[in-house]
Amino acid sequence: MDAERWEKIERVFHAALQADPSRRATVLEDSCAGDESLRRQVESLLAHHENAGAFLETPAFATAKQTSGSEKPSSTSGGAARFTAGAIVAQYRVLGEIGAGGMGIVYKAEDTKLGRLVALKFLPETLVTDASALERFQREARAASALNHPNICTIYDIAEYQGHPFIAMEYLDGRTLREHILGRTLDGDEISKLGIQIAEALSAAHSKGVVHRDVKPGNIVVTGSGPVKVLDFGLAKLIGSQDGNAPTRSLTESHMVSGTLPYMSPEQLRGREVDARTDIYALGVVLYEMSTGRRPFTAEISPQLIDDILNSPPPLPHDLNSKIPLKLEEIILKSLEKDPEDRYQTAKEIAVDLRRMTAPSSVSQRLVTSRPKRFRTVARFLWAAIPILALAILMIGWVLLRTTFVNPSRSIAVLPLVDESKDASSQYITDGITEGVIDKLSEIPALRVISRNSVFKFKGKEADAQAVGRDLKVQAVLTGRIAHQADGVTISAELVNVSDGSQIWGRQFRYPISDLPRAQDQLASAILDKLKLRLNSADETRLARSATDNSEAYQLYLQGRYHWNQRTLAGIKKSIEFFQQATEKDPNFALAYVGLADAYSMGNNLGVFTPRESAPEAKAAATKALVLDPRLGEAHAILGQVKSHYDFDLPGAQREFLKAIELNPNYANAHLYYAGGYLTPMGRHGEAIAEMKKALELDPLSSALNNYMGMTYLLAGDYQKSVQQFQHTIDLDPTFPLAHFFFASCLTEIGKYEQAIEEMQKGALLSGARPEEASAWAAEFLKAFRTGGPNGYWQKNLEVTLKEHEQGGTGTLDLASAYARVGDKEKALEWLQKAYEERDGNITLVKSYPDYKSLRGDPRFSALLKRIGLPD
Amino acid sequence: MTKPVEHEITELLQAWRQGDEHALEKLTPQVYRELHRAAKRCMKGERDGHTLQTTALINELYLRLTDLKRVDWQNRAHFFALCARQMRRILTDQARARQSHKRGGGAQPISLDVAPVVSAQSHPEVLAVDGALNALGKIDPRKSQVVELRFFGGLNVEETAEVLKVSPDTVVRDWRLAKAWLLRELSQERLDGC
Repeated sequence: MDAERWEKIERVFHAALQADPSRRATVLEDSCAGDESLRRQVESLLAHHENAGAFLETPAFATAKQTSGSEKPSSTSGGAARFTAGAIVAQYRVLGEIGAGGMGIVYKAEDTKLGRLVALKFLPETLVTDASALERFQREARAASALNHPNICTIYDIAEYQGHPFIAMEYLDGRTLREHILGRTLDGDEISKLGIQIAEALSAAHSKGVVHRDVKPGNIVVTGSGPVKVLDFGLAKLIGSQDGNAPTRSLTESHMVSGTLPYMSPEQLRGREVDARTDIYALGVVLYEMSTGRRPFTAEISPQLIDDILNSPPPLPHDLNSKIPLKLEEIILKSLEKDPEDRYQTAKEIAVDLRRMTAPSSVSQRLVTSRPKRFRTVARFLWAAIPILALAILMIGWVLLRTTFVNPSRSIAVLPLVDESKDASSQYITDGITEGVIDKLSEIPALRVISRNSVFKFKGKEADAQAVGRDLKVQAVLTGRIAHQADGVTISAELVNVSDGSQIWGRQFRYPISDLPRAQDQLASAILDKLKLRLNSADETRLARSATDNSEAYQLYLQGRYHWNQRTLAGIKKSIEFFQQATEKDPNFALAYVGLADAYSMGNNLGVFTPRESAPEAKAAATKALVLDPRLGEAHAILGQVKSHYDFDLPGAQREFLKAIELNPNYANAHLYYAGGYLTPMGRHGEAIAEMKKALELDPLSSALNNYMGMTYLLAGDYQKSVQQFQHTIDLDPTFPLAHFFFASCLTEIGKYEQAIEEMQKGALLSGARPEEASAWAAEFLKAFRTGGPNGYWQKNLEVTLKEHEQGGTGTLDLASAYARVGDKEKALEWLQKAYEERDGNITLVKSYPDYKSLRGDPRFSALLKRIGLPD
Repeated sequence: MTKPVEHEITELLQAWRQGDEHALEKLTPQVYRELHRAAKRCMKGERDGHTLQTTALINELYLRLTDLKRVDWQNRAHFFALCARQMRRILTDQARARQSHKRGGGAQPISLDVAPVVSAQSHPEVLAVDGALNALGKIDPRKSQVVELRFFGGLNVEETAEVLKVSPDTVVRDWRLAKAWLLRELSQERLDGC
């Protein structure tokens, strides 16, 4: 049959089926339009459709199972005994059946001896097929019967009737939580009220070593105005222990059937050992369901559901029902953590947090502080706001340390958070959080953290985490997205293992923006708890430092950082304003002073300020920061920079640099400053190169660092490496003008003047020179070189430098070097002296600069070096 | 032997998904063996007392055989399709073996490993459905696959839709027509040779 014909049959078949039966004939008539054969085809198919009944509806394998083997015709529901009302079972008179399910059949009955109502539960006989199974059942039931708690359904008796084991338990007049919820949501107070009782029940059982294993709304009874009761403690284990070899198999299977799968914890699904924390997970699902009217994962397809439970973060409850308190959401999310280690560790803690949720805040504060240190609860953790938030993500790094790497050299790149709102006004928060995470992680000596500069190259790009990780040569990459809401932010973060692209850790956080001050201590201690296993006390101090309690101050700080990172004249000036405001809001905010010091230091580099303007400010700010927090590596680095370049106190500078590196070995600039501010000036080139290599490991994509690496080789006299390094720098970013200028100076050292001129021209163009200007200028140099050789070139250089100096374009030191190049020692020394008086920091490099070769050996030059503190 | 089975199967699944047919060749016997073993264990009554679901069986197999951290739902869909196919083979192979046994054609001894999991007598439909399904496959491969996934793989409508990358509605419609067609085919009432 051809495809067209088949399609036609199909179309008419469905059209006829969709039509009202009374109109079917007409539809057929119209559709077939005289095509009798088509009509007969469809009619016969329709007839068979009507007769299909259960044809193929039972899967082949299940059919096979049912019809083979020896069944026990008397048993249903897994083979539990059946009784009708009025039957006498031991001392009980059956009043009626309450329900039947995978766990057997339950009857309402009267205890004829004690005259009270009871529920009799007959377990599926298949659970107790032999003596050992029966014994196990009795043992479990006995353990459960020892539980005596107002929120646990009491077990009165474990007995056997005509070979059918059963349990007699408290008869509860009420309905299950499942019926109670039925797709609706409950309000926060009710959830708290119910949740506390369930948690207390679990807590009582756990303290006796009984794990429920099957907490779900169907096992929880809500009794009118009375207490909530949790049923069936430990019974699920009977199913689980049936097939001792592979608990997963029987568990997933039976749970799929009994509808428990959505409440199963990841470790349960994986067939791992379960403990109290499995119940905590299930309680999280129950709380979730009460809050949102649905379960966290709703996939219809069971493998998809399993996958979600194992790997996906649940949708945020507050997004589904904005009426529930955010605190409740935190409690739920903490309970639903994939890794049991990250969950609440005890049910009691959930009860405490649920109670606090509704209690006045002063009480909750007291509770927080009076609690033992061990388990800092999620509420405190998640209520933290931005500075804390940055720290929160830090934990991910520790997950990484704990779980993935055995290799002692660990490394991570934190990619900029992707801002889903794309709102420019919130950008500073987004970037600030990323930076906060980088900063915090950077302080951990055992971890190599790629610096901000290199990771921000990926900002706004949908970069593949694994590929980026490979580029940056790290083991793990943290990626995340942020969404800004009116009252806070939501962040979802993911830690990716670079070697295979797998997710190591993933989690969503939500933070209200309003609650900055309280957050500080709470978060610090939560983090410390997390890190305790790994960190020594010095590390702990590092983490506990330098943030602020003042949310306004922190936001101002973030804005300052944002502008600082623009690295423009205007950006630097703006950042100073923000940092200053931040210190006004919180005069003890150490990081804000570091920001200020950074801004003055960067301002000097960019020529926004003269050294005399900026250095004292930078020094004051860095000093103030260190008074507030002596362990700030960044502040030491800036102080070192000032001591080297402004005070010409090289030994002092060295101390600061070493301190900075000790405190914050992941701070790339500390290595750069140490190389450029001490080692190279002192002629310790090998060490300078090694230090620069460390800086580049941390910030491999930084143009400035790569460029300075080239310079370090040049000053060390290794021209070949220098050329390679400059070429690499230019490959990395061909639009970075300084690289062309530095490369040019390297090229002149190896006699490649024409190529040097080319590079200078490129650099000039990139710096904003007009093309005709740049080419005229290049032509002048070329002519000078071709007619006068290197001397002609340097003469031209002096001429141009003098002209530019008149126009205010070049600095004192440039003139000194131009004179030195043409061998005019007098003038060169004169200008060097001026540069010294101006405190031009670059003067510390004169000893190694090839420009000043002609001055070497001159006593006046030696005297200058001595005054700067450089060895002759 | 060095690699754990779940890694191997995960890798094969991924390779297959990326179009490597050799991977499928390697994968098929493994899945056949594992599925067979699971089905047999199941039939021996090791898990008597639970309603048996083919999907549950496959799910367990899946949980056991694959490295969950490294596979995604796409792999799973493929895995399910593969399992449905293998389940069909297992059941028809057994039914056939049984028949030849009955006819006295004991030429092919049944090795321990392929010992029957299902009694063919209890399942006379299987061979007939299998044959009719082959015929349907020639006319409309997708409908034949819908039946394979649902009847032999035990998948529900949503799962089938996911595997075939069509809407659940389409699955329902395909299923309806395919059943009518197969039933007619099995009742030998053929019209116009189709």
